[in-house]
Amino acid sequence: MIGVLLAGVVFMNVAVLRLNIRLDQVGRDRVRLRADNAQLASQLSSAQAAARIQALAQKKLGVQPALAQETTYLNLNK
Amino acid sequence: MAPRLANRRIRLLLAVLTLAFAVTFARAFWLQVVRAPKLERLAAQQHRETITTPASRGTIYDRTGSPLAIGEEATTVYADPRQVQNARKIAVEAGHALDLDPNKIYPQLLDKKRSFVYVKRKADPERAAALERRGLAGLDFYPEERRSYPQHSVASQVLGYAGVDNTGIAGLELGLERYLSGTPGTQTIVRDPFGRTIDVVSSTPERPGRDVFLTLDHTLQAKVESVLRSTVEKWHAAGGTAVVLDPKTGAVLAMSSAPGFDANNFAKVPSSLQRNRAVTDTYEPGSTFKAVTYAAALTDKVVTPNTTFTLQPSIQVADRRISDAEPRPTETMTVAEMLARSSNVGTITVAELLGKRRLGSWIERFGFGKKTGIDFPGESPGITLPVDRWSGSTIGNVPIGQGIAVTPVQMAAAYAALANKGVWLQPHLVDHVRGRSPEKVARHRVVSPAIAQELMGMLQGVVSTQGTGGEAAVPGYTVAGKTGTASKLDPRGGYSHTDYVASFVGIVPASAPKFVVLVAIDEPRGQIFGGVVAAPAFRDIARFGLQYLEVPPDDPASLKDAVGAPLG
Repeated sequence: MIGVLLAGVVFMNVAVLRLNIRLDQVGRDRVRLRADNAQLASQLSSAQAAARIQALAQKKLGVQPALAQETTYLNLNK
Repeated sequence: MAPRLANRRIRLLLAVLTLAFAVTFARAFWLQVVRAPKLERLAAQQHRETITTPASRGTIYDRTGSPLAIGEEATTVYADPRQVQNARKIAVEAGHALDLDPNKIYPQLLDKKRSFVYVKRKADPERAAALERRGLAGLDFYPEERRSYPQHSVASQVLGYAGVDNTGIAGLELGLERYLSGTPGTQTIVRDPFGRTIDVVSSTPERPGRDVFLTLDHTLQAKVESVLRSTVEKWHAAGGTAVVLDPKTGAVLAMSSAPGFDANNFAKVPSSLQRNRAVTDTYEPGSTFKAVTYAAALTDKVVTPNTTFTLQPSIQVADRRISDAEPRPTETMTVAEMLARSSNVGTITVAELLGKRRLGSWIERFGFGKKTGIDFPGESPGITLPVDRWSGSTIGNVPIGQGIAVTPVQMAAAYAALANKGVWLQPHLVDHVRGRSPEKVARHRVVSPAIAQELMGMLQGVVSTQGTGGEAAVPGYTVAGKTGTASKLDPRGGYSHTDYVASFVGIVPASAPKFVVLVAIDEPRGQIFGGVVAAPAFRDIARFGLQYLEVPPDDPASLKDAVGAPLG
């Protein structure tokens, strides 16, 4: 009986140890994922900067910003 | 084997085992009981560690949810000179990997009196990882957060920047420090000989900083900066400032000063370029201030827009003779025409009828001489002279925007009050902090809706063929506004004859205002007039903003006559 209990204690301690190691790894993963997320958000913000998109559209596609006179607004209430 | 011999051997084995057990027990007793406290302390020193878990700094977003300031991962590289075995090799390899001068690192690595020297703080994580893989003894690494401004120069003066320790140093990074900075956590952990965590003894989690959402729109902001930059370049000006306000809410949609700078390289930029001059610096507003004089005169029923005056070419006020910017003969003008043509003589005539005490109280009522309360650190209250200290000629200066210093945001807020049916709203840059309700915006009525409407009508006259601000006209939309051309103070005394501030403040569409746009160009060359230098910049900003926010034209007839010009 005592032997079974001792084996249980040892088993439990090993399990706790493994969980702690896993917890540590998960914590590191969390930090890394947060950092990756921030990095991607930063890259996305740089990529969607209006001035950059406009410059690229003009340079690569040859498009021009629309003239105010060429914009037509529809009044859906009429 | 004889049973007797066997018994002897068993007894011997028993004795050996008993002795071994006794020795083991004695050793265990010695270690577990006698030396236990000391060994426990030693073990704790070797395996236990209390580490601070830094709190990440909150992100600053614009009104569309685009990040303007964000924390990125970086790696700090440091060395323990006492552990360094080959200082020359480390200096060369670290210098090569991190773009550092090895000659500067090398002497530090030789200093055996120190156990910690920075090699590079917040280095690029990939480069640092490559260096770490080389396994150089004495070199170590830890992760840190580095503040990054992904849109570079966009809103850089407003955002400010955070320093190497991730605390705000300037701008909103400083002003919002209490929200952006979190609270670091602590962890007491037990490590195994391989450095892996095997137990967490105690833990206080870090509390990350709160995210902040601004009222700025990064697209409009970028456009304002672009227009301002090209205007400053075109007129070879010393600088320029622009503010775009939503008059219905007091929200600042764009705020910029030119020349600007990339907030990621703030350390290399002179501090003069880092100031958010729309809030921290003052200028003499010149004729844009006349709207205040006329608002006061109309409210106090001194004049109406149709009251006529016969105006001499110049007017004597105490020891000064003041004339209009453009020479003219004696003319009869209505009050509306006096504002449209920016007549100094007419405005001073009206101000004299109003009197200095009433004018002084109206200046205060419009918020000049005191801070607007905008949520940006270092706001200037401007400079107004108390009425008791006015000289005889002050009534000839102040009504036309001389002898008074205002901030661009004060002036924009005053015009926003006219656009908002007479109600002044506190300009603000922060929409809300994540997890908190938006702050209540301070407001007070300045003029009645009727007077605001009368003034809007008069200001529309400025942006007409008869007015000084015709260049501000936006095809398809009604525009109300006022030009300003103010000579700067000469450091040697008096006013300069070469240095001016050319400005324009406009409201568009005048029938249902969406924007108030202020543009002030400092020391333009070639031309000095607000209607020539600043009004076109207003037009370009307003035209872009209206199309960007899909505001339908309120004056479609004017589109037919317009000659198209690209928005870009």
